[in-house]
Amino acid sequence: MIAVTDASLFDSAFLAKLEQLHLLARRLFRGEQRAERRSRQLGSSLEFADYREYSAGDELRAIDWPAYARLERLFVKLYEQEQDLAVSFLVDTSASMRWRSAGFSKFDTARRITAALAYIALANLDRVSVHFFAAGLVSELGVMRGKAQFHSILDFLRDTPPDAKPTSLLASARAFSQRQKRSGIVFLLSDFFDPAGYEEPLALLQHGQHDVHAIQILDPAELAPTETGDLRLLEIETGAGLEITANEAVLKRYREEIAAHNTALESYCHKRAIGHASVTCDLPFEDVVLKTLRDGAMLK
Amino acid sequence: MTFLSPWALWFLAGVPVVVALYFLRLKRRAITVSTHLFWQRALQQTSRNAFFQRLRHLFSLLLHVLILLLFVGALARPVLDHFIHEGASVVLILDSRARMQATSADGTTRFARALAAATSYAREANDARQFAIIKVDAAPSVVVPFTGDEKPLLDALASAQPSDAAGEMDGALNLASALLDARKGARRIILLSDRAPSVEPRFPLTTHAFPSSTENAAITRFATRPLPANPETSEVLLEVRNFGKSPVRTNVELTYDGKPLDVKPIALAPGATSLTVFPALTKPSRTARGWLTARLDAADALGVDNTAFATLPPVRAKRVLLISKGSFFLEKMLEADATVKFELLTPDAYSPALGAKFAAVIFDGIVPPAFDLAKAEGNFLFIKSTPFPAGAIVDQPLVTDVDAAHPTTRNVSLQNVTILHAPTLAVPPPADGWTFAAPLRSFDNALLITGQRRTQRLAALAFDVTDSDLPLRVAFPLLISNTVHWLAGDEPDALPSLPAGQTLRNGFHQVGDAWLAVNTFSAAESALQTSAETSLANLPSTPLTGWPLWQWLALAAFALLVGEWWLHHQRRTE
Repeated sequence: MIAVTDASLFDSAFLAKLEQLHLLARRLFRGEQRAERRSRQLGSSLEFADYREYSAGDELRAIDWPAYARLERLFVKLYEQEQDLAVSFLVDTSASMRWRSAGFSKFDTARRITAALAYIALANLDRVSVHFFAAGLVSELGVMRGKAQFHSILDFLRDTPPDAKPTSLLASARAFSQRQKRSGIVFLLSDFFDPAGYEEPLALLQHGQHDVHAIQILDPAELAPTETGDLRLLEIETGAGLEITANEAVLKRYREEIAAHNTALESYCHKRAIGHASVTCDLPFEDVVLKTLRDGAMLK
Repeated sequence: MTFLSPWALWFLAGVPVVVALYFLRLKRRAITVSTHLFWQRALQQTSRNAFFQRLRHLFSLLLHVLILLLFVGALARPVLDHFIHEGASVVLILDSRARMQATSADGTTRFARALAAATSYAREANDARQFAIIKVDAAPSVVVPFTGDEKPLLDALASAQPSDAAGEMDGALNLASALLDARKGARRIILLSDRAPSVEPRFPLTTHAFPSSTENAAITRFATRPLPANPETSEVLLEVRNFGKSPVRTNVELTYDGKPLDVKPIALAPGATSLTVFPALTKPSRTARGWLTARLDAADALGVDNTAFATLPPVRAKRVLLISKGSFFLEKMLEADATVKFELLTPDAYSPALGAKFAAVIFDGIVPPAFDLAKAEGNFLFIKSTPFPAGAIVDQPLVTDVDAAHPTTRNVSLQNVTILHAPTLAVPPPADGWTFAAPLRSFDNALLITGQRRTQRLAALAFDVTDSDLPLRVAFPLLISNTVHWLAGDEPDALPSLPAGQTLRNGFHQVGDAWLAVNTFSAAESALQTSAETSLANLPSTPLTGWPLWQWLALAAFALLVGEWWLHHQRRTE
């Protein structure tokens, strides 16, 4: 397996490009510290938001005196307060993500995307947390803030969970929701090959007031397998065998099935206002980050 | 059904091996995939084909077993009993006569088509159906005796060539019948010719006729002969006949030693014959070959009869010995004849041993003392004195009978010749192998007696030529020349040509020092249309079965093998 290192993940030029990008926040979130993103909470920034009538206890410097002169009533100026954002990465570490045809596995690709997005989030002073999951949450990296924490994230990503269990998106989403009470952006990086389905887990995450983005990572060989003949297919997660005679007709039906699955996922995400992007392992990583994620309306 | 190689059925033991190999081959290749999710869905869609899938397993196995059975069947060389019964012994008669070289509209010759048909038959040869091949050209000959092995049959057919000879088919049918007489079981004659035979053989006969275009003009005669008046020159006779149904206008080209000599136009109505004489051809020198070729410029069905060959033999002077005390007329005449080289001896110098060294010996007025007809060697002309008993002298005998057909008196006109006197001579009876004739007579008296014993010849002129006015007549040199050449064995009608035989193709062939011209010259060969041909249309067209059964089985096995290979790569079989 190819280790994800600083050198193999990004070079400095690429990181400089990423700094120009901003995470798109579709909503304003409540935050505890000032950040580069505006929240709904009114605060003390320079951006005027609204007026309200003065009540006892309000700061006197907030009173709009010119308005008092005109209207003879006390109004207090309200300003939008800039707030930081919670960005969570849910990375699928199940055995299916470890499968590879050549080059990087889906898990490798997921970690590289996570590292890139986490860097962007840290550069924007957002609060970043990373969670590995398979049948449930496997391990997590607590809240990081500031670019200085980037290396901690890389170290965490580099430590691959040893035991790759079957995927359970629902159990993992449920565990995440219980832990993460604060709403924010959630990137779910998986192949979405959970036989139990992806609809309920995504709905659960959305129910927790998260801005959910589903990043589907696939291997090219999964999209268009070429092996023909009498085959015994061993599923990497369960070890179960399936005997088939692969001919052009079967391969064609397979391609139709996986295309239908991917289309259904995209359609579901679109309908539920969930960000969606689909990438394959063979795409250049820069293109994946810059193009695919931009197409997915998560960066601008 | 009979198997010619039943031992091959032991290969049926390979069927369990095929089944075992089939099940061994079902061991599948293991491949790790990320999920079964989509494979299962894809297979669920094809579950309706599950029955056919199971059927496919069975079909694959049956296909493999069938291929093996077909191969074993081919190796066992099965023959339908029907074939064995029908043709246990078959004689193929391949017509190779000149007319089989006639071409049809598509450019193929009758012989080529007959050969192809014979090859098809030969491929059916096996131990239970043996073939013999008879080739018919000048005479029928057995090319391959009865054999069940197709190789010698095919080899013989591959080397078969049409001949330029004319021949008779009846002899071939008799020969085929004689061959079949010695055979048991079913017997059949298959005739590959251009027409049905005129006789019905004793065994069942199948005729495959290969007709062609019938338009044909042919050279039917081409001959040379020395002019009697001048043996130095020859005339050439050319006969051309139109055997077709359309008029022919063409040219005939005459070449002499490869050089063009003459071209004459010829127009022939259907069935007409044209005779052309090319006069005065000088005989060739000793260095020349004397090849004379006539070529008919006609693009008709049969080309072999459009060219004819003849030779002009070179002049060879004959040595003649004249025993005389002096004869002015004889000496001058012999000197003038370029075809004769004469030597003069006095009677005293003559010895009997000289007779055999010269082509002819002329005794002028004498008969050697011990001359004995029974023992004498050589050819002799006696003038005035003869070895035959002479009777009374007849004064001024009249020449009453001249045998114009005899070589010595051919073209000799002795009308009003005056002879002073001549002895009476009677034609002697045959004795010591000699037979005598009298081509020149005066009533019952012979004036000229000729005798022949095998190749030995003798002539006796009863009167003295100087006692007549004969030397002053044109007849004298003709009579003496004819007689000398006849004695020397010079037959003016003898043409140095031979009929085409089994080994001689048309053209010039060297035999010793002489060239022989070989020609077809057969109206039967040149007449491509015969009355028999009209009946050919009614002949049943016997299908020429191409391949024997085992080859079909092998072909089917191979085709199935290719099909199975393709299906396997299409993943439709296993």
